[in-house]
Amino acid sequence: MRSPSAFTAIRRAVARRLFAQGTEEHLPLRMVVLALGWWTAGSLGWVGTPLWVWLGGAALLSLGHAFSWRFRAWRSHARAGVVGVAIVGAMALVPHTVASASHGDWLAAAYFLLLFQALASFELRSRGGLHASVGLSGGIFYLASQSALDPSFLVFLMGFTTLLLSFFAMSTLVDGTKDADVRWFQSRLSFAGFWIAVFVAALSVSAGIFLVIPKNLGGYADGALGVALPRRASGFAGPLARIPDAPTTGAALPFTASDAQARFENSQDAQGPTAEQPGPGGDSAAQPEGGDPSASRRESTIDSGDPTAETASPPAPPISQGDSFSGNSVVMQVRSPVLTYWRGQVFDEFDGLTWHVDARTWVERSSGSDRAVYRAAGTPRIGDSPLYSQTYFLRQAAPDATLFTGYSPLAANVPIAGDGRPDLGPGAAYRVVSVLRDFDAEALEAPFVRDRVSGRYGMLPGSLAGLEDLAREITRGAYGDLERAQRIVTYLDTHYRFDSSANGDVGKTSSPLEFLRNRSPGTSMDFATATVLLARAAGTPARLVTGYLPGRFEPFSGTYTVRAADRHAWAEVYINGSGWVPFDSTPRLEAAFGEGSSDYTPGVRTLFSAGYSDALYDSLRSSPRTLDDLLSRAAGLDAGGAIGIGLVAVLLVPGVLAAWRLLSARRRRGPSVSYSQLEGDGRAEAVQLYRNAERVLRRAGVGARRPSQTLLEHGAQAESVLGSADRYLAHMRNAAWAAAYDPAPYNATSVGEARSALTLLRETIRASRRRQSRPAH
Amino acid sequence: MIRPRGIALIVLAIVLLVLAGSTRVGWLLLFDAVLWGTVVTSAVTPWLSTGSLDMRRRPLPRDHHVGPGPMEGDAVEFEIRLRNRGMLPCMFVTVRYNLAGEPMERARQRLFATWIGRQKIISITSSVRYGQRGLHRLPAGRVESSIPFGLFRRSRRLADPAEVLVLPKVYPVPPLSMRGAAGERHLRPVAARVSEQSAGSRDFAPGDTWRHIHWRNSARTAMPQTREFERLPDDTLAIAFVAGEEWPKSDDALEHSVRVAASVGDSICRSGGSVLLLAGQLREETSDPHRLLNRLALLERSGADSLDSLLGARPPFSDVLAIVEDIDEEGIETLIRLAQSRTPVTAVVLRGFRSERPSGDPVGDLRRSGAHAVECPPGGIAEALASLGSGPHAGNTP
Repeated sequence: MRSPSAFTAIRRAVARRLFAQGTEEHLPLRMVVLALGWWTAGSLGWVGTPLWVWLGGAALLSLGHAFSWRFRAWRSHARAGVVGVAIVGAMALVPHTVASASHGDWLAAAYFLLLFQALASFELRSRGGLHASVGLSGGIFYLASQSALDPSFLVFLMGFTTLLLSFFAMSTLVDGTKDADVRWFQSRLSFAGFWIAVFVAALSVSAGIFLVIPKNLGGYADGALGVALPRRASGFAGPLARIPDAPTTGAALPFTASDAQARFENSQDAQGPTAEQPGPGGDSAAQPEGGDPSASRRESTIDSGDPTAETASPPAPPISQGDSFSGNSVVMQVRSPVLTYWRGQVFDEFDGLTWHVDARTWVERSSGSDRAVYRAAGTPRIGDSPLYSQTYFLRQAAPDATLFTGYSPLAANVPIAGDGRPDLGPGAAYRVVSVLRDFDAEALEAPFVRDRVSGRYGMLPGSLAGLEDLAREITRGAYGDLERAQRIVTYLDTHYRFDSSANGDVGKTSSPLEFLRNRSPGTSMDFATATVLLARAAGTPARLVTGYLPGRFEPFSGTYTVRAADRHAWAEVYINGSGWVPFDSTPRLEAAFGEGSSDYTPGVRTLFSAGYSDALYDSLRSSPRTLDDLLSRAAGLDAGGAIGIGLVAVLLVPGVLAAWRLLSARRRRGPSVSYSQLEGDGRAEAVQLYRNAERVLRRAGVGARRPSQTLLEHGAQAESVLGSADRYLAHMRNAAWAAAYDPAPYNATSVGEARSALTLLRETIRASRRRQSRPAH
Repeated sequence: MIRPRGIALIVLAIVLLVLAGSTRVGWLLLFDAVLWGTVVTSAVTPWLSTGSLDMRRRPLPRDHHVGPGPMEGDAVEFEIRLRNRGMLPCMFVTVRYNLAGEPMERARQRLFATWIGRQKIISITSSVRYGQRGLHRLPAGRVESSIPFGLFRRSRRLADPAEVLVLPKVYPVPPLSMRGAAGERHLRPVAARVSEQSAGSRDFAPGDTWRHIHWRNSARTAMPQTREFERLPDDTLAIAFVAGEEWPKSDDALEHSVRVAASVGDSICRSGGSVLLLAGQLREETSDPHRLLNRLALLERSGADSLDSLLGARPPFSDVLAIVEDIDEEGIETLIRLAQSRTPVTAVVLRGFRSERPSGDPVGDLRRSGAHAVECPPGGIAEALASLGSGPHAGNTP
């Protein structure tokens, strides 16, 4: 005979485990699996799943469990076929699920798994099926955890862990006690104490392991990805040195800030303003094509600036003041393998008062029913640069539908509203794929390359022509665009102070000339504006960018939590051969990995820090509000949602009824006969069979056995009803009595006889009913 | 030893570790740590929980009124004592006490004990049935634990050199009537052939006939005493059957032979007679039924023998009970020759144990030679022994 192939053997093994005929008879084990299903469904709700989805799925799951338990003895191909067809029907959702997952919406996959699990539970028969159900719960929980941004999800994680370990422990106990003489603990307290000790020990060991477990396995600690921050002044580059291969601005700078200051002062005192001395390689290469060549020839000093600028009102903020990004509330959370500033709007033209948005940023490429893909205008060079993907979870509506990205974005997958416009309201999530730029000094040095850059990135308003002298002084002797930009950044960073009272307030800006002349504390907008204007005055194309600092890394959710106070503005300077390179001249502590700033590596200490404890406490305290939000969202449903609620109700009611019936059936069993003190298996079954007979008797109209009634007394009560069937009851009574009280070795064959007697008792009573219901002729 | 569930959980933990590292989602890292903690706890706990457990298995003594034993098919009740000699308690251990017989209950000879305190002893009883005579050396037991989550299992051998001797099954035997060659000489039931001369008394033993109670000595010793008589030289019954290694090959036939010999010998010994066992290497004359059954219980195939050589070792003029297969032509011939020489011969002819058929009619030949021959098909010992007493002289036992 030919031996079966490996595939056949595996298929048979799987079929045997999942669809074994042996029904899993242990109800508490099933209840744990069901509780696990409810718990994972609840976790889905907690991360923002619509009410009808998670509650409906859980209710359907309950219904399936109740059905397969109640009719566990009913094995028919029809039942398996119906469940199979339902599962195959559900598989039709797979393409949609895959498409959603590819767009970053992993919750769609979780919904599918929940539906699959609920349908399969109707045919749940074996231990393998229970294991499969637990595995599906694990998968759903994993997907939910990917969308869990709030620290309060820790409660769900602990609950899931407890239920999972309970399932393992309970199935171990069931296996151990099956077909064995069992010696239990003397008291339930000892039993509970043991398991509490085990759980505490397991969790303590887990805590210890968490301390030593590698945190970046398979991550970005190898330096391939990790950090892409704006180039900064040397004085704030310290923490970056901890990260392998991270760009360190200080190392790339030929001059320190003090050198730049000394040169600037010397040039002012001894020589006065002089003409620009092109460095090696020729600064002409830095001149953007199409720019205003006369801008670099204008003669003007800071002191002789446009007087009207001093009296003019401060430039209008680039972002309207009326947006919802106010206070220090959480604006968004970003899951990103690369630490960057979250780049928002780009501004190209400055009229002396106001920055104007560069509108040509995104181009719609393709659009579906609920999502659209946008391509970045002017796609950056990819070359050998790696790509990375970021997911943005908006907690507040983005102002002016701003799409925040990393540097050099390629494409964005964005949810769209009914009118086809991007839907960037609270709760929206979108993904952006970007090119990881290398801002290392060596990579940026390409002085002989000439690029074509729009002239508007080099224009200076006429009122600010006096900046040219200052720019010339700062960048005197600089070699190329990069060195010029770095000198400007260093100069501003060294000589000017950040207005810490204006954290995140990019709207608070003053006149650039006033800022530069008075050296008064400035906002990030002031610094960025000055950087851009000085760069343009030095002949280097530049533009202004607003967005956010990285924010605080939340180690649980793996996201950077960005708050309103993280609002920031910085400059992007065009480096020939490399493109737009961000420069941040603002001496802001948070922007330089200082105290309270973001940390690239999610360290263990973060989890145990007081700040994180506070965050967790705040999160838990706000849980009722979160729950209220969930219910409010559910209450504001449209017609489809109303149908969903109705569906949930339809499914929930039978599920609750079935659960209630199961529980009440267990409760109604009455006083248990003590059989556990006697040796021999089969005793429990014999007593159980008599209980089943009592149930049959109750249906036949015999009253339930009172606790004070002996088996014999109860049997005598039933005698009048049963008639000739009384002998079957007597047989079962004897078997049950012997099982419960007779210390002699128990004969296991009595169980089989008692089972037969129960069948005969049932049949006799049914036959008697049929005779009574038949009309007399 | 790691179990499949443990392998699955470790694989899951590794996958989660990679996922957690790549996504930097702390939930995964935290859950992964819990998984590793669970794995470590599950790996350590079974080692601690099995402790220093040892086991003693002892068959409980039978009541005297039941008779000697245990015999084939009897329930044997064992006491299993588990002692924890360690300093840690044994927790949630499964003890496979492995009595090697057919369990009488559905339980598969396992005890699941949730707690055995340090220096504590627990004991249970369990009954098994042994279907085969002989000295049953109980295999070592095992203690296992896969607590708390069933990911790992520690299994340790519990050495306990216990053994139980199972006697061959004894069937009821009617009062024997063995017809001589010409019918004029009877092989008298041994109890009736004892000398009238009392040789003394001994303690009463179960099975002794009440008619031989020595009332005077019983009154003197305050214990029931039974008479002992001098035996006549020809009171010994020679029971012979072939148990050589080379022939017959059928184990079933040998076991039938042993049971027939045990049943007849036990009956004769209890009646005060003596039996000479001739089988294989066994040459044993005894009047003690316990010794007889012990010898038969331990009988194994050995050496080369034939009925002719076996019967050559019997005392002269002793009666013969031979158990012979119907295809053992040489044995049948020997018995016919003996019967024709007016030796009281009773033959139990085992029939149908092998596919070969006898060439003639051995039973008829034996009967015609004057021997008392009965047939014994497989499973027909009781009927064959019953027909031993159905001859024309049945019921001659005094």
